[in-house]
Amino acid sequence: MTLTDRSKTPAFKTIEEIKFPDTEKFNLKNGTPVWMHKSGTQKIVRLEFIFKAGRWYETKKLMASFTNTMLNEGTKNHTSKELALMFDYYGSFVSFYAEADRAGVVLFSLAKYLEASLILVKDILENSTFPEKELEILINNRKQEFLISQSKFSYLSGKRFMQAIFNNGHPYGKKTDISDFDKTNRDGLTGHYRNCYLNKELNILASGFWDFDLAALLNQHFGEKTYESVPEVSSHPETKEKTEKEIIIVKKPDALQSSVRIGKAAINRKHPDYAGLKVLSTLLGGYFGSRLMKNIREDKGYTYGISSYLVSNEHAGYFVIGSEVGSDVCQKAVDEIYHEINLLKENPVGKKELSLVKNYLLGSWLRMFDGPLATAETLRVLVDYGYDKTYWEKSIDVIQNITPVQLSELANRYLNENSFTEVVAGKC
Amino acid sequence: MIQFSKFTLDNGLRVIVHPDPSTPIVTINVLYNVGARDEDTERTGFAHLFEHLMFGGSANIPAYDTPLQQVGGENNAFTNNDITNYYLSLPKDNIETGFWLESDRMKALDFSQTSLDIQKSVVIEEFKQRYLNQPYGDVWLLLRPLAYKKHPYQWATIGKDIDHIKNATLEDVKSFFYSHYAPNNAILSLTGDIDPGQIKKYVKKWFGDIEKREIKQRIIPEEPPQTLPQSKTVYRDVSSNAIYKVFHMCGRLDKDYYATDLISDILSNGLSSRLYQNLIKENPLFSEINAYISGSIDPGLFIITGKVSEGVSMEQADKAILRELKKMQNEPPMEKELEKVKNKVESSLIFSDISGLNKAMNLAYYELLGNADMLNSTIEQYRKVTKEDIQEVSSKIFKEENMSTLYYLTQQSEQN
Repeated sequence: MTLTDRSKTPAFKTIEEIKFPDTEKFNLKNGTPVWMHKSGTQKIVRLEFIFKAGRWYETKKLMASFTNTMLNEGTKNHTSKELALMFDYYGSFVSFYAEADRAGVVLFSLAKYLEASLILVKDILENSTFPEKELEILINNRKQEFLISQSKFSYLSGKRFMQAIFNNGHPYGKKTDISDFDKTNRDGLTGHYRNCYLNKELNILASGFWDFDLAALLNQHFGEKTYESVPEVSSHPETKEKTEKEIIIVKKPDALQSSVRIGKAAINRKHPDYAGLKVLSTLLGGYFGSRLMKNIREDKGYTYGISSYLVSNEHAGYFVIGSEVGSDVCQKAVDEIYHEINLLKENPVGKKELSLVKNYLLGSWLRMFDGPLATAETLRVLVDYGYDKTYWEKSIDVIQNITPVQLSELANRYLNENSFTEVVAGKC
Repeated sequence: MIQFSKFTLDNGLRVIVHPDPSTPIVTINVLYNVGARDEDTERTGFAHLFEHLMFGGSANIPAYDTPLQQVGGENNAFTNNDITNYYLSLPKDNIETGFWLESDRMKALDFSQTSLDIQKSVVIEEFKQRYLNQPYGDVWLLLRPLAYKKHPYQWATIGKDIDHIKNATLEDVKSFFYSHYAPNNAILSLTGDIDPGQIKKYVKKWFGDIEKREIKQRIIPEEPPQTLPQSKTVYRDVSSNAIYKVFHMCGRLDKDYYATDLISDILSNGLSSRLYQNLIKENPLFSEINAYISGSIDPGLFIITGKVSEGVSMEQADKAILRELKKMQNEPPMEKELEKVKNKVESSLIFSDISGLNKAMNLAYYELLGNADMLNSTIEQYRKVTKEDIQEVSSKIFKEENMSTLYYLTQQSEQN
């Protein structure tokens, strides 16, 4: 046996092409769009029902989230307990979410129990009754949860940051007070239900592995009725770029660690620079080997973790750097964050580092299609924005071809310190 | 059914391969049979600190992450009281980089004072972030020593005292490596679109020349049966009173394990479970309540945690939990209720075998327990549990003298 040469990196291939999984898009008889992806080895189905029912569409605070949770609290046919018993009996999991723009229901079911579970989901979407008693319990429990979150520094800094970067009253940056829970009532929720769910347009996303005609089943249960469209909301305030840096301190004198958020409202997926800015954000703080992690965790030991994200909502995006840092080194950590941002603006990134980030990103694209559950989450972007696979192709093209000069340009265009908001919860 | 093949190298490394052509990603998982239970009473938190050092570079590779990211891979690791588990995923064409990385750090880590110093401060920040700077963050630092008096499960993986981390020396760390990290103390598992024959060649090439090492003999004091109920009350800057009850239960390989897990499911898995329906919905005494098991290899804990609703006294809350536990002891569950939790377990097990990473981790873990094949037979073990077993095991566990309770109260309640 020859001795294994450990001194050199084994030969490797750059990912040249991402093979997108097969997806089928079609409409039910009534025009409801369905995205379908079949793969995997286990007979399971993930079925998501997506509505225009997120915070963007609510007329009062907390409405989107309470309405969504209350869907499962009783229908004309079943009590909350009966629903729970049946879903559990089939071993099905149902999750409920209300996001900035969309809200929905996700059913995870063994293929053999899909139809039985699907009928229950149809019931909660069409016949929810919003019982007062269940609502009262939910309000009390959410209130208590809210009070607990008030002592989490990362929660405080995150919320305060969103309020500051989006103008007051903007649905992406609403401030919740304890009194908002008391103002939540049944009429408000049933109103939101009628406006956004009941016989309203929806998108369906199906993934997994099954051995029956799922399209026919969906047509039978969701393809008959006429669904109305949800009126667009245009009354929300515009988000303006800041011209002077805003610093907000949420004082917590006993904090062992301080929670830091630095960033701004930013372009979203619809902007041609989005894919490039995402590469820049990855380089700065989007993976374990990022500049922020290397400097602030691996070189200085100021934190357990630091990262940056670029997030896209339908009407605006945002860019944020977040970390929990030792309070004794908080100012030093903040200074290092700005130092790293400046380096991105002043010096074009080296070839080696750029090739590493590109390969890392292409690898994460492969991971986005690792099995039917991951693939479904990846498909959400196409569903929400009405894109097709050419959107993915374009994003990958940007990753493969972006140059150091383009990245510096993006840094200079979008990472201007004066446009930033800096929030520290703790002591700095 | 998860199909796999197994082989063992001459140096003792056990290998499990599961081909799955449906994914473009290969997962490589390395489980080391060492956890916080193997630590010395005076040097706690070492297994976890060590996990951090495993990324600080090995004999031929100055930084673990860079070459992996270069080929489109990603990795992470975790430590618990029983094991330390490392995993990476990467495009299948670049699988050899994964072998190179994992074998080099198994062969010889590059011990440096700088890396140790940095990781000590990172771990100290982790300690603050997870355990000290969070509401209810220190619960497990309080509960473990309340329930365990002799067994090393009395400390959390982060360690019982931050000074143990601060005082760690390079010598300590080196000796920990050579007495626990070795091919004969590890299990390697792989999933993805891979060919078992080819994998065998790679494994031999990269891991075959690592020497077998002498593993420190595991001498773990057994926890004597608890004879008196334990309780502790603390006051903290939190907004809700909380109650934590733990009972000693069997270990992972005991015949009662599956019944015990189902008991926790009857009590708290899903919105139809007893604690949720009875103590949140019908009689709203709690805003949150959960029951679960620690699932550890040595005898573990059955845990009940609840956030008490405003205006409800701790005595009321305490009694309500005990009433539910009494019911489990006094009468067997209905057939349909038992079937419901078994269905739910079946579904959870199938859903946990969807991603390559989970499959790789599960295969390695079951192999450690005795046989990777357990992954495919677990559901039968659950199906065999009878309603009489549920009642019998409940009676064994929920004895008053077997209980430890932590009352975690708001500062206002101290002033009242």
